[in-house]
Parts: sequence; structure tokens; C-alpha cells
Amino acid sequence: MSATGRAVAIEAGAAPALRGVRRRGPWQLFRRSRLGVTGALLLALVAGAALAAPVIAPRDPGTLNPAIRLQPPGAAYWFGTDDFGRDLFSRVVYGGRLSLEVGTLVVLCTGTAGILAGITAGYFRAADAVIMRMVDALLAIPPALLAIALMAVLGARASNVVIALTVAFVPQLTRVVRSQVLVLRETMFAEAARSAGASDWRVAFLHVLPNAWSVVLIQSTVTFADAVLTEAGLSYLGVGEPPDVPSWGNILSDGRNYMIQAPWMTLFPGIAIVVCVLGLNLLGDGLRDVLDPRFRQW
Amino acid sequence: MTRFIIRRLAAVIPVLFLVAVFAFFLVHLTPGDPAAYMLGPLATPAQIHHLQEVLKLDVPLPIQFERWLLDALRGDLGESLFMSIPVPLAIWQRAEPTLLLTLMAVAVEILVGVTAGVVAATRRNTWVDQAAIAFTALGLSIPSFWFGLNLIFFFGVYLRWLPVAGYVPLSVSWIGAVKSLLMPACALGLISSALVARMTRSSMLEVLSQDFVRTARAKGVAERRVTWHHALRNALLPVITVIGNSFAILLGGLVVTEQVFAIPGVGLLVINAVLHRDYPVIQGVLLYIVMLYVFINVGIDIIYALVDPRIKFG
Repeated sequence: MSATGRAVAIEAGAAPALRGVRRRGPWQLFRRSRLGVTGALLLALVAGAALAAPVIAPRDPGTLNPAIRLQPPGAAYWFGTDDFGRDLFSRVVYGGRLSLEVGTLVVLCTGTAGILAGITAGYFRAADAVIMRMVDALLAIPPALLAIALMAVLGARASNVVIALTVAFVPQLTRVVRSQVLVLRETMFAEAARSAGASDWRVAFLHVLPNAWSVVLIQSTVTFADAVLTEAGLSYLGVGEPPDVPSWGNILSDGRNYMIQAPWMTLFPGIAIVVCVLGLNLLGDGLRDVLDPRFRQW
Repeated sequence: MTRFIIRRLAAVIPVLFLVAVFAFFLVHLTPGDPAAYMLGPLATPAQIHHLQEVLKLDVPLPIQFERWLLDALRGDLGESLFMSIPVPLAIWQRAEPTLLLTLMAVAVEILVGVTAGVVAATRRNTWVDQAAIAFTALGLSIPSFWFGLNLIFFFGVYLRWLPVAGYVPLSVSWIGAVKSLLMPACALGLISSALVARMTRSSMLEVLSQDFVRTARAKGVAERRVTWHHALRNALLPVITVIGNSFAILLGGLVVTEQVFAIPGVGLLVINAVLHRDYPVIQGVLLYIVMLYVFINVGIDIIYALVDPRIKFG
């Protein structure tokens, strides 16, 4: 209590500008990053629409109605209708649900696997050689090609998309976490914990990992954005979700044959992807500005 | 220098070996028996048994791998199950449009990325710089296939400047080949140029603040020459690495771009192989693309060492 009282007393006398500098937490810094806030807003728009899909979608995304085939956008059908007379707005909104679900699961799986592998590699010399050789090999395969090859053997299903994308994106995170661990394990506080008798695992997870968190967070926004992009590409190619599922890639792939009669079929799902991925990328840039002083430039 | 190249090439061997292991075991990731999975539910037991023999699935796994690897080292990657021709031949027949498309896409990427980065850095904090930042943010967020569809719609359907889809082989007309690949090369190259532009800009900003740039200006060198000659040459080093890494995006993006523009290249080959469960072709394309990517990056490391005398060859 007395410490808080003293801080307030000093602050009351300090110049307002100085107070601003001293009291600025990550949230205040983030709010000042225009890019980051824009990204968070774009993402909130997509996520809000996706979460509220059952409420805001005027029709069922799968109901066929040949009587209203290829209706242009208007008051009744905001984004128009597709070649089967399905409401495109409902389909795009439900597609957002799917993309964000896949992206979230990929980030969680990549995060778990990447953190475990990265810490193990950074901490244990013997494991390092094995893990990093595997990471090098996986990094030599272009991620999109790796995901396509895995989908070929696993079969087109949403759960398999998550597996394929996790395998494709885990090497990047592993490498990032490992390089952080290699730096952090030599710091004074890790040394102090070690000399107090903490085990390697305890130092790794309770002392090193919390300090690598910001880097994991930044890399995760990149993974999320790449996952949404690649997922759309996979289902566009017909190797992602089954064709009847309203994913953004599937809607685009349906619209490809009607580009001249019904350009809205490719326009709206494409814009949805761009808004979602741009939101994630800008959010990542904003977080990087706040959390990683080395990248203050861009 | 020779020692550096040999060491760099030697480092490639374990990577390629592990990728080969991955490609081999890919087939065994299928649920159940690979032969039955490939042929689908309508196959007779005799057909399944025949395919097991063709794929050499009837011996223990380690022996299968040993035989497959030895064959692969001799260049024998098996036969396409669907087209009944050797896999290397199938890839070779479709290599021309893919290689040309990759080259053109890299040219677009370097041209646009480096120019945008330099222009943004020399006009820091102006509207030009802001526009370049917006361009890179957008470039990293647009799916290349959707961008390609929009290009088709605008330049192919609306303006009718360029062919909508397909490929004219070089042997028929090289102008036709370039024209048919112009849109796909832009779809691929413009998007990956965003990364190049980012790196060029931040690298240029660093170099432009250095003493030798001030010296060059002080002795009266024209600003244009300072930017493009003195500063850019020194700023390009990290950019070269980014260009090397961007091949991962380019080579992966080929598959979907060739599908969008109906270009009969390696990407279309692999996607057809996926749809027909033609595993030898998938394995073959995977190995060839990885080899291409790995050796491009070895080449880039060597260029890097040649350009930057500070890198020791020892």
C-alpha cells in the first residue's frame, strides 16, 4: 500500500508528459498504433459476423431454390444468389465461421507443437539435432504444396485441413521459439533460477517461455493469416472441405464458371478473405510495433 | 570459395534425404491399404493385388523404402498410375510453362518489389510511402487465385487485351507464350513482391542514413545516382535472401495459379494427380519441386557470398 501511495505522490508532482511516458502499458501503446487498431477492427468485423451467423444470415446457406438462380445483389439478397439459388450473403457469413474455426484450431495446434518442439530443441542439445533436421526438411517443402500432398492422402475433410496446415506451418514457429529460447536461456534470470535449484523443465516453462510469449503471439497472427489463405486455396482446388460445405474457397470455385454472368459470386467471398487476412496481418504488424522494438519501422 | 560451395552442397544431402523419406511414407499415411484406397470402393481384389505388386507394397516396409530410394537415385520414380508413363517424363512434358512462369513471376516480383521499396524509402513519410505500405499490406492479404480471377475478368474479359486462359508453347510462338503467361506471372509476382518491397524499404532506410551516402552527396553525386548506385547496391543484400525465400510462395502458388489460368504445367499435373490419387506423380513432383527450391537457395547463398566480401568462405 505504501509503495502505491508513494508512486501517486511522485506522479502528482511530475510533469504530465513524463507521466504519460512512464505509465504507458502495452495496451496504451497498441491503441496508438493505427495499423494495429485498424486490423483489430477488421478482424472484429469478420469474427462478429461469423459468430452471429445464425442470427444475421437471412437464409439457410445450403437451401437450394432454382427459381432465384443468379440474382444480382439487391435489397432481398445483399450479395446476390449463386447458380443453385442459394443466398450468397448467408454462405459468405457461414464461410467466415469455417475459416475462423480452421484458423483458430491451426493456431492452437501449431502453437502447442511449435512451443514444445522449440523449447525441447533450444534446451536439449541431443534433441536439437533431430528436431532441427526435421524442421529444415519440412521448410524445404513449399507450405502450400505440403498441404496439398497431405490432403491427397488424408482425404478432403475439415479436420484433415487442420492437420495438413498444422504440419505445414509448425516448422516456422519451432524455429522462432528455438532461437528465442537460445537467447533467453543465457540470461541472468534463467541463470538465477538455475542456481536456486530449478530443474531445466521448470526454467524452460516458468522462466523462459513467458518471455518468449510476445514472439509466439506475433508469429501466431502470421500463421492464422496464412492458414485462412491456404485453406481457401485448398478448397478452391477441390482438395479442402467437401464441395457442399460453404467455405470461402468453395464459393469462389463455384463462382469461377459464372464470372461473366454473375461476377458477384467471386467478388464477395474474395473480399471477405482479403478483409479477414488483412485484419490479421495489420493486427500482427501492430503487435510487432508494440511488443518488439526491433521492428518499430514497419 | 570452392570449399564454401562444397560445404553448402553437402548440407543439402540430409535435407533431401529426409524429404525423400517423407515423400515415401506419404503413401503409407492413407487410411488402410494404400492400393485399395487408390483404386476406390469399386475395385476387385485382383486389381488391388495387381496394384500392390506394381507399387511393390508386398514386401516389408524397410525393404520397400530401400528399393524405392535406390530407384529414385537412378532417376526412376515409377510410373504414373493414371497416364501410364514414367513420372520423370510426365514432369518433363509439363516443365516448360512452369519454369517460364516461375522466371517471369520472379522478374515481376523483383522489378515491382525493389522499385516500390526504393521509391518508398527515398520519400519516407510522404503519401508515396504510405501508398507503398498499403500496397504491401494488401499484397500479403490477397489470395493469388482470387487476384488472378480478377485479372482475367478485367484484362481478359473486359478489355480483351490478353488471352483468358491456356498456354501457347514456346515452339509455336515465343510471343504467344509470354502473352499467355503474363497475367499468371503478375498474379504470382505482384503478391510476393510485397515482401521484397518491405525488405528493400527498411534496408534502404538503413543504408541511406550511413556516412558513405552523405559523402557521396557531399562530393556532388546526383541524387538519382546516390539512390540507385551507391545506396541500392549495399541495400540489396538482405533483399536477395528474401527473394530466395519467396520461391517457397511462388512454387507453392504455382499449383493454384496454373489451375486458375488452365496452364498445362507441373502444378496442374499435381492437382490432377491428387484428384486421381496418382501417388507416384505426387511423390515425384514433390521431390522435383523441393530439389529446385533447395538448389535455388544454394545458388542464392553463393551469390550472396560473391556479392558480400565480408562473408568468409572458410
